[in-house]
Amino acid sequence: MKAQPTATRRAVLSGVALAGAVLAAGLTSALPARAQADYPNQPITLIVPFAPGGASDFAARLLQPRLSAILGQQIVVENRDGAAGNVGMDLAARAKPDGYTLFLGNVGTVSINPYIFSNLRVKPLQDFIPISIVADTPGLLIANPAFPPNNVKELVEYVKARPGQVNFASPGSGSVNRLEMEAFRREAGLDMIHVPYKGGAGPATADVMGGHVSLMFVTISSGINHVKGGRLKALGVSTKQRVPQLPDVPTMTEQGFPKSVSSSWQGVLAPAGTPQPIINKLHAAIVEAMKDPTIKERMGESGVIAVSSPTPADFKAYIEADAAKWSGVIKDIGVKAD
Amino acid sequence: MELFNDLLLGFSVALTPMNLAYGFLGVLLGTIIGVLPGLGPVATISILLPVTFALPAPAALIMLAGIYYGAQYGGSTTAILVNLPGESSSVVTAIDGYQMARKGQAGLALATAALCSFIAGTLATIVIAVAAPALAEVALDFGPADYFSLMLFGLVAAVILAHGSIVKAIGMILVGILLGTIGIDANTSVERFTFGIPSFGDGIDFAVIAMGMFGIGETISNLGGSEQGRTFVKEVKNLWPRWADIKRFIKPALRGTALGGCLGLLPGGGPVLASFSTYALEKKLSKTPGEFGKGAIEGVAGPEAANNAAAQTAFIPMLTLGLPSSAVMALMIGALMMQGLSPGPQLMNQRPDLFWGLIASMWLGNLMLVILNLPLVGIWVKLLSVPYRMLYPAIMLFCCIGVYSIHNNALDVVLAAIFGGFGFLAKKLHCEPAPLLLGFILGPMIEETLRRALLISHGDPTVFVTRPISLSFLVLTFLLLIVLVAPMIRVTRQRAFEESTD
Amino acid sequence: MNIRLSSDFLTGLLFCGLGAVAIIIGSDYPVGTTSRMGAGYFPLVVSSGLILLGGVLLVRSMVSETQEVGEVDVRPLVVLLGGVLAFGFLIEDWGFPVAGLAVVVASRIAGRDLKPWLETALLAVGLVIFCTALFSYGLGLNLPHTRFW
Repeated sequence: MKAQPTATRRAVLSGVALAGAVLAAGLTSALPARAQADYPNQPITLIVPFAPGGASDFAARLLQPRLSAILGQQIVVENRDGAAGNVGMDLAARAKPDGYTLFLGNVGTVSINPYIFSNLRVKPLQDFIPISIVADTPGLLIANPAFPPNNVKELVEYVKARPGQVNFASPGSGSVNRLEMEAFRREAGLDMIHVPYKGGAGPATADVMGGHVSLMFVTISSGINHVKGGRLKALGVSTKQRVPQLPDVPTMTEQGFPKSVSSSWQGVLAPAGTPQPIINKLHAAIVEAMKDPTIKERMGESGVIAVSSPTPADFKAYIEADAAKWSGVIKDIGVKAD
Repeated sequence: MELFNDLLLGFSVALTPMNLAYGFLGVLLGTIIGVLPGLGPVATISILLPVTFALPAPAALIMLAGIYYGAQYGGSTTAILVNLPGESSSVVTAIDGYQMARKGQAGLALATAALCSFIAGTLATIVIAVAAPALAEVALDFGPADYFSLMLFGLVAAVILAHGSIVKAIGMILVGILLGTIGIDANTSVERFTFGIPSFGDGIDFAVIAMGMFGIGETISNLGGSEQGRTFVKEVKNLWPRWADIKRFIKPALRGTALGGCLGLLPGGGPVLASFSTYALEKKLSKTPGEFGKGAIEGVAGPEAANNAAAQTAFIPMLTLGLPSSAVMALMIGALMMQGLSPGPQLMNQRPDLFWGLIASMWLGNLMLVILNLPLVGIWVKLLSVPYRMLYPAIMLFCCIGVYSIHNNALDVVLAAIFGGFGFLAKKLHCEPAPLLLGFILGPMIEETLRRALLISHGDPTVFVTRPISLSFLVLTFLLLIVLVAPMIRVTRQRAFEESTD
Repeated sequence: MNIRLSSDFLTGLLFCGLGAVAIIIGSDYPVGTTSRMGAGYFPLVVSSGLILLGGVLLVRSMVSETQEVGEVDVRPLVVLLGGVLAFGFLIEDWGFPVAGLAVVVASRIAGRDLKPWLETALLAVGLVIFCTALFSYGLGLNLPHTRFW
């Protein structure tokens, strides 16, 4: 129940011989004054609040080698999953703000969880300094191929004629995909039944594929293959412009729902109190890293857009707007865990 | 002949020295972590996933798959030798396997487990090669209502596991289900029974309860018992299966393979459900059901074959549709994505080398495991001749490390101690731990699918009888109940006697 | 300690108690309706079932003759659990070697095997070294190091 050894266990100093490179380096940070000038002079831990294999881990692992090279120090990715990402976020928020512990936040942990879990100790907007966004994954409205509507207009007509009869799935009651659908549903004035799943997008997608539930929002990365393979059909993407991977799928905006612009994003944050020069240095490094063509290509293959924020302030403004949007939706539909 | 060419391609990939080496490394690591209590394949694959990014895709996948089924083999070893089911799928193996070990048949039990797993692995691999895409379609047909009825069937079958009082067994199942509700409710995000502790949000880990109730609880009662309870194993006899043994276990192994192969296709508790429904089936088919729970070889052979077959067929939805049926499969998909590959229907056409290479490596992996495990049987059995006063402190230490390393969370160790106390209490009260664990695994799935089915049907409960798959399982459940209750009524008068023999 | 109570009676009490505690703690969770079950619905049904079964056992223990719980050896129960708890409390602040030694020694005390001392000491040190090599170095687990060496 403590922060990871790297950040806390100064006492191990005497055991450098035993400790591995990571541990050993984490301890010398006991001298904060010197730390800023020659930052980074030891490995940096990037806490990912989800298990390996997920979207956040994917972004972190792609970023890691390039960022390590630019900073001249090893970035150590540490997966601390649990409680919808809250366990890892809590750990990162309480880490020493010396730039050696960073947090890979995403739309769920930073913009949604604070409004769903009322007893969450972390207040992301106060407890973290945003550095830069790194990955952006648009939402995709998918449906079973046998579901009659083929676009959003037909969908609206179809559901309006059958209030309360159409079911939509989601990867969880507090997931961004559920909120995307709720926002769209309210904007269009549709009455649909929410069927939540757990364990990622897989089980919910399987039931849409099997025809047990009609439609859902997923991230492009989890839906794109099924759409290309013809097991699912796409009714719209939640971007302003069409995405290159699915050029035939119209945007929600095109189809008359300009408010349905949203995405799942991942970004790097540092614990509040991290010195500004360190934030700037990290920001410059991340911007540089995200220009890397292999990162762009790898992310692009999965429908993820490699991006970075022009300044840390831009990322902060982005998160604030994102959080305001989702907290509004959450308040409207009354998902709250009390 | 296409299949033949495909398999040829597969073996040409899997038999390259590098892939063979990674495959062997995988099964070896898997066996080690499977033998060590608490450490599971999910944790190990998570740790090793980043390492595999540097490998070519087939090598990475072959190694990760090796860890997965290696852990299935290894898990049964600890279950048989010291009654510690490290993996959820070896809970059932522990019941009769451990009793066999105490009768001095540890070698026979281990060899049976290895051979039956191999038979099942071989047959399941053939099934994957021949019919994977078609079987994936069947899995998609299963809706929430169907899953609910299947789970209900599984739960009723769990009662058969008990060899004591049925009322107590049902009670333990309910306690297990209740424990399974701990955590954040998936439908409403309400935190249930978490006492405000964040790490309870995802519920208690299976290994914490298993280590507590089996490992710690069992040791307490061994130490407290008479000298006889402490003499661990009487005398080691027949290390290897004889012809008569093979004749006894071959049919259960084949039935287990069939049942496990089918259940493995379904997401969630495939291997677990497979192992104990096979146990229930064998107990019901047996002419001597009284032997079950006291060291029946069929009680090891069937479930071992079933969980291994299920572990193999669990790859089908992942490989053919890109849909993970378990946490391990989700990790595999993550590994593929990091390689720049997208799992799904296209994989088989885009990268036939990967697809068929993995399938060929599955069979090779099983072969390596049986070659690795059979000689180990002798060593494991020797381990049992270590005096118990040396053995139990080691078991305790391994339990503690295993539990701690699940989440690097000391609270889990404290919880395991509590479950240890509870396990001891339960044993004193003649309540068995296996039904509790199965309730714990199936309970959350039952709740989830029940609520989901009723949401989809808009509250109409007839959905459970109008869907043919669901209806068939409900009918089976009903028949099972009759089978269960009928002898119970007959022997009510003898019950007190039966319980005292346990 | 010899408990001369019926095991059915105690089991019934245990089931009723667990069910009741779950119902009390869970009384805040919204129950909902059968078609739209709330978070509290399923635990309530399961707890009620548990209480019912507990009741059956209580009644059964009163009408028919059942087995007694019998002899309970308190020493391994207390000492062994104490050892595991000690491991849990020591591991993060004192490191794995200290916690490991504690649980091995406690186990030996629990089993009345503390003597011969040398054997206990060798076993404890040997196991800790073996496990450090296997888990920390062999499998790369993140076991906390001790603060002493």
